[in-house]
Amino acid sequence: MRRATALLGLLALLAALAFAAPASAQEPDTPPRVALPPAEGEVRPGLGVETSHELGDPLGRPLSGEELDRAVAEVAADIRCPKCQALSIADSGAAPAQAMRAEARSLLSQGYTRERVIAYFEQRYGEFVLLEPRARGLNLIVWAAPAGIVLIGGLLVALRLRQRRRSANEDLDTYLRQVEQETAT
Amino acid sequence: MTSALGQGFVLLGLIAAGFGTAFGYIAGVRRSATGLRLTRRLALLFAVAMVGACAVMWYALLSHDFSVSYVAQVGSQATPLHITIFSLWSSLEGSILFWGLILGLYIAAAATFQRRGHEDYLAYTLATLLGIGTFFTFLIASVADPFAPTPPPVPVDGPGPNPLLQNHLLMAIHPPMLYLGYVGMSVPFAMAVAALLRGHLGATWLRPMRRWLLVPTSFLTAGIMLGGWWSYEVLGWGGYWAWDPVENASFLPWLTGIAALHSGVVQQRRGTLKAWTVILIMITFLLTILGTFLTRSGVVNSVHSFTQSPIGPVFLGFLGICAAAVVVLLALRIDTLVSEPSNERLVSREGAFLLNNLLFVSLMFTVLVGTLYPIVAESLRGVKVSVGEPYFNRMAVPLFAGLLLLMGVGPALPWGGSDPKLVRRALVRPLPAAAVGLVVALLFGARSAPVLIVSAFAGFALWVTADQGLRPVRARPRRQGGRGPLAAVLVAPDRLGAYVVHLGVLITFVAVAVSSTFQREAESTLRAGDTLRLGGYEMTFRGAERVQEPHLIRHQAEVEVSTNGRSRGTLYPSLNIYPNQREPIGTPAVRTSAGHDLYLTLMNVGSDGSIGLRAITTPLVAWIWIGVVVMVLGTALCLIPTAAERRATTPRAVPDLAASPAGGGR
Amino acid sequence: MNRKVLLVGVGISLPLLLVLGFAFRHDPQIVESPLIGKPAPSFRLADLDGNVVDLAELRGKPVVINFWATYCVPCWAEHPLLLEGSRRWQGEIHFLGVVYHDEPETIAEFNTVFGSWGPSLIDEGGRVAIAYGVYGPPETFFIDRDGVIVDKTIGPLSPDQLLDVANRMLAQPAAATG
Repeated sequence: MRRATALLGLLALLAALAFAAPASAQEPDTPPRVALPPAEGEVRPGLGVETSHELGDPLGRPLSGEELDRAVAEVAADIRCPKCQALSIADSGAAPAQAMRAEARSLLSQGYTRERVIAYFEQRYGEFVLLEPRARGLNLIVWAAPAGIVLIGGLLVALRLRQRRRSANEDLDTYLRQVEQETAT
Repeated sequence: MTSALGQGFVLLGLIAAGFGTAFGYIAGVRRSATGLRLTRRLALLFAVAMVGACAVMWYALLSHDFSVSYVAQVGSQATPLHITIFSLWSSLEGSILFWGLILGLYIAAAATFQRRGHEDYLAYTLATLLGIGTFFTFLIASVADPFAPTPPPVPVDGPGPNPLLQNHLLMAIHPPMLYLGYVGMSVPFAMAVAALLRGHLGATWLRPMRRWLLVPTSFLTAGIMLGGWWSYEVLGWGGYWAWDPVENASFLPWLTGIAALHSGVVQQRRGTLKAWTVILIMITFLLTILGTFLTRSGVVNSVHSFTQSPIGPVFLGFLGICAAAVVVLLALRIDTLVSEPSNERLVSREGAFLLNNLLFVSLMFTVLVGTLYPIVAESLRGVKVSVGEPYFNRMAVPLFAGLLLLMGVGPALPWGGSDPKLVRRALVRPLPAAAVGLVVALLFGARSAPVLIVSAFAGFALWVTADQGLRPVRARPRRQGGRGPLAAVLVAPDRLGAYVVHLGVLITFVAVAVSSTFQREAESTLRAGDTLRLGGYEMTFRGAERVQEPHLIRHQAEVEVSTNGRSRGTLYPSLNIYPNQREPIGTPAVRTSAGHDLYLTLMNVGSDGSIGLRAITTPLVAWIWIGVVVMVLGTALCLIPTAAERRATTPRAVPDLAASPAGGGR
Repeated sequence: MNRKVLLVGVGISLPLLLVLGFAFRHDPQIVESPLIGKPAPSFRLADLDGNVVDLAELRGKPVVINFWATYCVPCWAEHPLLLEGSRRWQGEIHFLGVVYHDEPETIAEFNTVFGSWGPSLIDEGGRVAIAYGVYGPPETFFIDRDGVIVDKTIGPLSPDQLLDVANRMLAQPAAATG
């Protein structure tokens, strides 16, 4: 029983790690400073914000067209709209959410990877902006709990099924024994 | 004057509930018929007091009596009549008072309808219900007093209710439905407490309990659906479920309530799982209190939550007391509920029910952990985190898929499942239907694995549901010599009802899967005459208009919709500005058809007359609501008494000792 | 007495209640900024009249950056305080307003009626707000002489807060400027 519990914990942990793998993959932070070109639709040259020291060089391939749309949608679904309650910036039509979608689009089109863009928002807004908590440290609770409860519950159901089967068999055995005794005399 | 009258009714309710609780338990212990009669009277008195208090509040709201603090808080001269009526539950104190009214009505109903056939338990049941009533009236009389006199000077006008709640009529019915569901869970809970105190439960407990559980579960289903619909029609983001903490809070008791309904079927059929059903009912009740706490304490971020108030700690205390009482009661008395010995196999009807309960409880637990984890993280790590839609979808979708599979496999399997040939045949016969589901999905262009799996499972489940549900109709006329199918159904309406509910679930399930996978959207800034195109629709902006209404200013855009050059009518998405709220609230315009919805949201109105327009097409949304309506109709069928029950109309006051092998407690 | 039930029941409900109890100690609306102690993202923005402000050029003196909008009611509440502050520390602390998703026309109208305490910088596309991780107006960032964010407030500023942070920033030696 104790070994089973330990095994269960291990399994839950493995399951959590499996979920965690894509979420925690991060690129190393690179220090060189490169100024960002202005986003699409920017009005005046020279104006804007310089964020390059946080971003480093784009490590991926610049995206465009449908591929870019898909990448923007994927990133946007994971970022909480700062002004709204539980909505992502993909779902919200609020102006700040639109601005954040535009920012994500601009970064992705320059070749920053999805992970890097998500990490950028996290650096600015804090972990609160991620709709899916990163699977590390204490956050593992939230990733391991569902697998854990299914496993524990499954074990209980399995035990119940086995126990009932055995007790029923025993009943049958005593009955057979009785029959044997009765017929022997 | 009005304040004093209202407070008087609340005080009367508090006294009735307090004494009722005490007398009820004493009458239960002594099995005293006189004590029971007195408890019933006090229960009815409590209901009358609550009706009186609400009537006074409604009178104060309608007469704009701003000397009552709640009216000063939510009332306003400009608010239309119907919204004034609904504003009883638009803010914290009023909603608790309304809660008291519903509890009063439930208690009165339990005291009236359970007089016969449930005598053995009734005193304890009513005592427990009145105990809950004592807490709520105490709350209304102290920290959440809506009748408190407004400190002078009494204002001549108020701010009016929260504009989000004014924006759509659905807000009038969504909260009452949800409260009817939440509060109604008190009744099966009280019955479970009674069963534990009595130390046995049999048929005279199970049948009424199932009915009293079915009713609030159904209200909760409708309430949750209306909440989603409201979110869809009002909030303007094109979706209906955001896994918002408060939405989750209403989802939790719904999940365990349904688990309890299913374990109750096994109990009815096999006499097993008695203790488990009781535990599920108790968890369900605790989750309703937890949900109310989350909604009203302001500890979580949510669209639906009320503002922070002193009510939070009091509610937490009540939750603590209830949890402690439940744990102690279960620990002391659970061994008195002895189930029949059983021999269950995994691949049998019983096995499917066990897995069903496993999945529902796991789902509840997952949602609970996800909802509360931000609080844990903040307490232990000091960091704010979010657990939102992507997480819940990732976790819940596999569990829901499992439930869908069980909905097909479970009812197909025979009870006992000891004959492997029978089992094999039961599982093979619906396979062509699963194949049809798969092919249909492929034909409609579905390529993603989850959608294909759901389609196959749904095809399987649909066949089994229809086969099982229609079985009595097909079988009866032959045996009963040509009596109509209606008569056949009426023999056991609950059987057909259950499968009708399953049918509704299937409809909603498929609609949710399809609508969330195939949503498309486009967004653009338009000047008058410009056209936005999306999925065959051409939406031409004709101009924006500023409409002054008594309680709001509406910016309304006129958008002409056409497909292939043929006009499909005009839609008017709008932005509403309420005088006391700075930020405008959008009202989307929706064109619903059987196939899909076209959903237009006005994002902003520029000073130059241009607009930001967002268009979303979502397939099958309407079927989500239709599915829920089917579920509720199915539940109504389940509530019709079966032929056997109708025959047994003559009351017989036999305590069901026969069904309790163990008899007394330890 | 079924001890198993007792243990499981207490084991589940007690932590749950503790967690909920802890929840009262925190305000769900306030999110700590991860930017405190980090260099402030530098920006060049134009005000309503087209004058360009470059944050990097303001090094050497503390800067107060306030994100605001005319539709935001708490922003009105803190407006007199900012007017007062900008007057009191004139020449010592720079006060910059960054407009958070609002129209230049309404901002200009507001400034004519209520007066302005510093340049109202137009943040086209809201990119500066994103770089500063602004959740919603009003939010105020305090940047020391070295261009490091030392504090941030969400919601209307209180006089004590402003005084406290301003004194802290002014007390910092002016030597380490770049």
